[in-house]
Amino acid sequence: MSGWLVGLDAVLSPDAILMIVLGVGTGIVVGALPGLTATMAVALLLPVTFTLDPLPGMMLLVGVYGGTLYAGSIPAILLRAPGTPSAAATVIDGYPMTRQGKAGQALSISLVASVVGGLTGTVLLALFAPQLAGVALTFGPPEYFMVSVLALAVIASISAGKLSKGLVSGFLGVAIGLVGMDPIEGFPRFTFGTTELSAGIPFIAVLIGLFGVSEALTQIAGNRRRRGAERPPVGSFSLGRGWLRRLGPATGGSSLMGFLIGLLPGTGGDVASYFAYNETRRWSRKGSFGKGEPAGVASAESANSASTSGSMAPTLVLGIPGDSVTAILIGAITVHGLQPGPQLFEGAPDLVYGTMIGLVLMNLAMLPIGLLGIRLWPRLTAAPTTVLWPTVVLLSLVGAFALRLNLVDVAIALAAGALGFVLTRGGYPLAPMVIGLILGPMAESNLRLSLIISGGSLDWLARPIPIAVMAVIVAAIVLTKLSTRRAMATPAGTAAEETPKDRD
Amino acid sequence: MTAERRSDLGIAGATLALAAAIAATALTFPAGQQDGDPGAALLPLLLAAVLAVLGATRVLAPLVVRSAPPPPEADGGPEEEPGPVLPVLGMLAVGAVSVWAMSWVGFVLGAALLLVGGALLSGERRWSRIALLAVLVPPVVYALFMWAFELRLPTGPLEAVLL
Repeated sequence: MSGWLVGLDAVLSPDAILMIVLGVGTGIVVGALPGLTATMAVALLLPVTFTLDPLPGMMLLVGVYGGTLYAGSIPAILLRAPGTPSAAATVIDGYPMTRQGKAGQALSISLVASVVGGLTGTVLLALFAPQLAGVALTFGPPEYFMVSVLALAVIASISAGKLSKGLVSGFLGVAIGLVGMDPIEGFPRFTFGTTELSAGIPFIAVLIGLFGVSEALTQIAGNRRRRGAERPPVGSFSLGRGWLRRLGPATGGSSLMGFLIGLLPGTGGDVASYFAYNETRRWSRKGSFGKGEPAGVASAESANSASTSGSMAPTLVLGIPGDSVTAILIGAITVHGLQPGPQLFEGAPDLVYGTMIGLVLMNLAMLPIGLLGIRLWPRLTAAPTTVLWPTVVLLSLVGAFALRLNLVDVAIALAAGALGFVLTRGGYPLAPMVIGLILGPMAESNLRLSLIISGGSLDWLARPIPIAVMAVIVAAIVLTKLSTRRAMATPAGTAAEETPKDRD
Repeated sequence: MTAERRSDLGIAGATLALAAAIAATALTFPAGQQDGDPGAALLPLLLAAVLAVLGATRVLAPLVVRSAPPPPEADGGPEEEPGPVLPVLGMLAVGAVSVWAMSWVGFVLGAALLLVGGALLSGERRWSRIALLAVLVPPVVYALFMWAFELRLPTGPLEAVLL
């Protein structure tokens, strides 16, 4: 039976379907609450998947991821406060539409564009991922070393205007990954003689601390000044006449751009939506962008949805996280004793192909769930944050405990939360840290294996695939730098200053 | 000096100290046993060097980088300074005490302590809302994890009565 049929059979099970629906619903509720990011939502729900089979667990997290990304547009449109960093570009035209009494229309456009973007990205992922996995199966330690080191460089380079801060964050992640046995000879490093640290610092506890506890701490610090945001009138939810003709080209083009940008390790929906928004504005030559242009909302939302599928590609094909959320998805897979990478296409086709089919179902589920609650979701933006953030801290600590039923992991999550708070306060992005935490051990073991295989020589650096990988990623760094610079130099950059972008 | 720059300097100093500590510890690691293997110290030493350079870069950043023009202000208002640190330190302390207490008073009471402390530190002053939070959320979370996810949270006298 082909991988697709195995995946289809697995994903059509009642468990998987239920998890998709639950995930999308939870994701929409979470995303509609200002400040609760997709990364935080997925990190908080990760422990729930420990007792589920791998595919239903993955469906829950993927559903939350998609639902949160869509719903981040709700406070972005209504309150000018993006629910997630990926919705920052939606503010540019979404909020002016609200001021013109067209919030309902903007919310409808955002939902439809998110679904179209997500479906387009998933189709592209399904077309290319199996082929790319075939190529990745020929990779050896030298190729994996090059990919992991240079992926870290790309991640730092997209920390817009904060190159050295992104690098510090990434290499601090690598430093955390050093704790425990060295990967080749099992020599204990930085364990201070304790048995608890000999297996390393638990990656999931750090993730939960960085994205759950630290975000709550940051919000608690700022909570005392933010009180009672006004909820404006929503108006009609109709898309208006001729919407397909008006919004179709922007949505289609932005979906494609979003997918391609999501492919680059470290780029997320925020970079994708800014890039696509700017390109759409440049091509359309309309003067209404930034003043409530519906195509602006469609462009930003379709791009950030499509980027989720793009970021799944390096995760599934190479085991390298495309962004901070897919880093958590890697954690969800490894908890079940599976190692993400090209071998998974042969070894666990139900999970890999099931995930890709599940992404399609998730996007299809988002439309009815989003439409059913479209009048309810805006009310969530007024949730009392004074009780919300302590609850997030509690759920984070419970999640860390659930990992190994060990209070040491809870302490690690608290410590990681404090570290994340300090870094955020200093303007350091957190995503490079978690990706460094994953890539560091991978880079070290592959470098040392390469050296052992070659007897200490560096000849392997001159092999075709390492050279090609280096060229591709250098090109990616240059392109990403150029696109980020252009995106930030436009009115979109104005909105970027107001977003929680660097937290995710 | 802005709050962000103060935090930045603190992080840069900590990065330099971490680099020194990693290098000093890594120098004691044994050499690799296999032919061609540089040993367990290779990555820590490389990392220490990189962190030292990056830490120094952050310390010297305002001297070597010409200051960028101020960012555009939202609605003409001044750039928002980060909030006070005291509630955050309080929240961390409440979290640590609650977790420590959970091992002998159980999850429900420990979690209630965390929620009450957290809500007060977040600025909540309506006692009815705080009481509702403390009474409803911990048992719901406990029951959810216990029965739906089959994960046993710390038990104490209250859980023994409830179960």
